[in-house]
Amino acid sequence: MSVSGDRNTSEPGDPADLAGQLALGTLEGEDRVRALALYHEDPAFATEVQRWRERLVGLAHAVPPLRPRRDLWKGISKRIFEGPARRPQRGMVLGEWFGVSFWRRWALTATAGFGALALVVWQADVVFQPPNRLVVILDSDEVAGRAPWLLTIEPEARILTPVAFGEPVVPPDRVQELWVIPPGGEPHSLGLIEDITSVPLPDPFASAESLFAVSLEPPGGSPTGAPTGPVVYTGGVETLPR
Amino acid sequence: MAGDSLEAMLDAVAVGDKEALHEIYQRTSAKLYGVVTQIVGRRDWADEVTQDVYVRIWRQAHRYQPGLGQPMTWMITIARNLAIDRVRSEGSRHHVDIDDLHEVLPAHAPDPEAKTIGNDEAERLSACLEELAENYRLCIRLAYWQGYSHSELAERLSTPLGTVKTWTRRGLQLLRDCLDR
Repeated sequence: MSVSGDRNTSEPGDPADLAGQLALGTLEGEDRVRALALYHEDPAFATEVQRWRERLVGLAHAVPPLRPRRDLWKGISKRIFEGPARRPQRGMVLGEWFGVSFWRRWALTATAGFGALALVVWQADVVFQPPNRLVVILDSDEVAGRAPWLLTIEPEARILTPVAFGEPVVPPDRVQELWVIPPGGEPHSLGLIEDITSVPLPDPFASAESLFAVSLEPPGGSPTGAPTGPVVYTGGVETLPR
Repeated sequence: MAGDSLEAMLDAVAVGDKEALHEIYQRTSAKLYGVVTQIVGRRDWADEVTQDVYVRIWRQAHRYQPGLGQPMTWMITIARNLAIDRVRSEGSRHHVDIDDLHEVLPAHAPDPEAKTIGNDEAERLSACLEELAENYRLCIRLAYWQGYSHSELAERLSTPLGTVKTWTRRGLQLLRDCLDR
């Protein structure tokens, strides 16, 4: 085997190689961000990533099937069909709701759990419904469950607070800008997500149907007032019962 | 519903058909549970992750695009991602000795009972992996089953990062050439 040095730490790889490595999961840092951006922006690249998933899936198919225990379905069915988890799971007390481990675990396991079925679709003119706790999980399709950002929204005051609990991967020369997109409207910048402690959400952004997104922008943020870079994370408003 | 394709069932799930989800579960849970268990290495975690997988399928079915691949691949991708996330969050990978990789990371194990979904893919991939040099194959297997990134592979294999990147890239290229042949 001849290995002639480190050829590709910084040089942009061939997109076909990048697609294979994204599907395999070995990319990190800037390479990963670039690949994710391509995945979102370039349908041909997304198709290539998918083709790679199909190539690699034979590995999974080679694993012997294993019958899960009988009551596993019951647990799934309960989580899905018996409405949002009205009881916090595993005797969680209120103080733990905002604990790091809770958020981490929650986002990592199913973004579902509580949020899943509690996804609330109000009329567009209905703003947040107070007794609930509102959150937005900024996630990406490609890294399912690895959401690096969570937004919490105080429904009465309509104050949004970003919580970092993953490790967003951002190239050194880019920043992450947070956008809110009201129903039927244009993206409106809420600022650079890392700089935001908390930010008010005026009408019409305080809608249960608003979408939130993070795009990668040049230092200082988008020069145009609209997203100019790839959108790396998106999420909608979900509610957790108090 | 028994005769329907997984694709049709996912369509039904996307509009809230609970029976369709149950049907999907019956057809795919042994496969997905096997994949999840392979990654997390513990039955209790596998139970939890597998539940998460079906909750996610329920929730994300509308995102599945037939043009972008097989339904089974889509579900396996979800299962693999969630399982890898779980071991990462627990900070404990199901560590295996390199020497044991063949046992833990099966090379050819087309299972005897399920002669259905995925057997051809498994056999073709397995044959192509066999053609690769051992270090290429190792990188691909470790990355697939343990979720290792390039730098984690480098650490695990005590090999310089650049070398591991080359092995992975080259291994994938050769694999593609073989599979597309």
